[in-house]
Amino acid sequence: MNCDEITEALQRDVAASPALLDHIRTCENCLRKACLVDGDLLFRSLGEALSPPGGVDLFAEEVMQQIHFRDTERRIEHTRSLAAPFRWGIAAALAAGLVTASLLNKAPAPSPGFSENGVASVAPVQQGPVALASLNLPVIEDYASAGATIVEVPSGEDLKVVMIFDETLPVDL
Amino acid sequence: MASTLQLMNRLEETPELDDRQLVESIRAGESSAFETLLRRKTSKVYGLCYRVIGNAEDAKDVSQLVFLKLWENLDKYDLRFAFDTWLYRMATNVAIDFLRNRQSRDSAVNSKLRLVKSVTDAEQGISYQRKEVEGVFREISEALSPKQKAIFVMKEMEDLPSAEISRILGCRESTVRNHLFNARKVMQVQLQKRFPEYARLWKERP
Repeated sequence: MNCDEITEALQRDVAASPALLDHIRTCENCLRKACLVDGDLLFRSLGEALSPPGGVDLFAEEVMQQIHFRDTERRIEHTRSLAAPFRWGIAAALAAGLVTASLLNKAPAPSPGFSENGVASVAPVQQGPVALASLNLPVIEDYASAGATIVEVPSGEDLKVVMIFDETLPVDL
Repeated sequence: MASTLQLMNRLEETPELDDRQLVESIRAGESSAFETLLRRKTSKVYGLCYRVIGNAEDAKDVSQLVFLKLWENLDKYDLRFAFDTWLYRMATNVAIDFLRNRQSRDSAVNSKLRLVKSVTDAEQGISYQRKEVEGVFREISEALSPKQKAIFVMKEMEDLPSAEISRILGCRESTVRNHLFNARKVMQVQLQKRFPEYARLWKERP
């Protein structure tokens, strides 16, 4: 529709057609004329089809992406909620195993039993070589020998003997 | 399973399914039907959101939210009713919620930022004159409540009948008419105060 046709249509008081609305969106003179006939055409002229920034394709693409994203998120959540009992099961089994192992480790050694011939038998206790040596060594409180060399170290008010060299003493002392 | 296959075949055979048929296809698991529906309704939903919100970027975000809600609530749609009414209800509710939140934000924060944004948004218009009318509407409609604004947009810009608007908003037709009457009154006062040249063009209805 051109301006003349719009003027004619307005004189006939024809209801606002899409063509008339299209025209008055871009033509200020016709908008003014149209508003004199029907003031509501001022804002009705704004009611045209609009596209979002970037266009419909981009808009639809973004919405579909968000839908896929949300669906994936929901599926993961669902899988997680199913796996939780299994994870708790594994944790419980591990904890039970650890507790059992520590209890077994702390259990007392078997009490001495009697053999068939009535002689008490004790299980041999395994000890390290250092501990064994320190247990067998005699504690010497006094020592006097003319041919011995005694190494002493002052310790506070007292003297501490740390080494005795004496050929008369046994070799393993 | 058989019904799903039937629907999928129907989708391939007849590209122009109506809204209800598309909804049935989506419910049957055909996600491409949703894309068809989305493209078909984008312009309507975005247009409504843009006119109610008055800002292109916000309107785009709100429209996307509307479609996400649509996807999530599609099983609640009753096929006996018009799809557009249901969609418009969703869009109007989301847009009104957005406006209410923005109003409470704006009352707390300086509104300079919003004014700058409005100028940028106006650039998307086609002609200078349309931009000007859009700007006038944006300015004077700020004085309306979100619901009044939504009703005005649906009635005066989208050209929906009052009965349809009342179904969309879930209220009585007389309520719609009341809101519309009050909206026009407020806008007329604003026009006379701020844009007297437009007040002469847009006269208050008796």
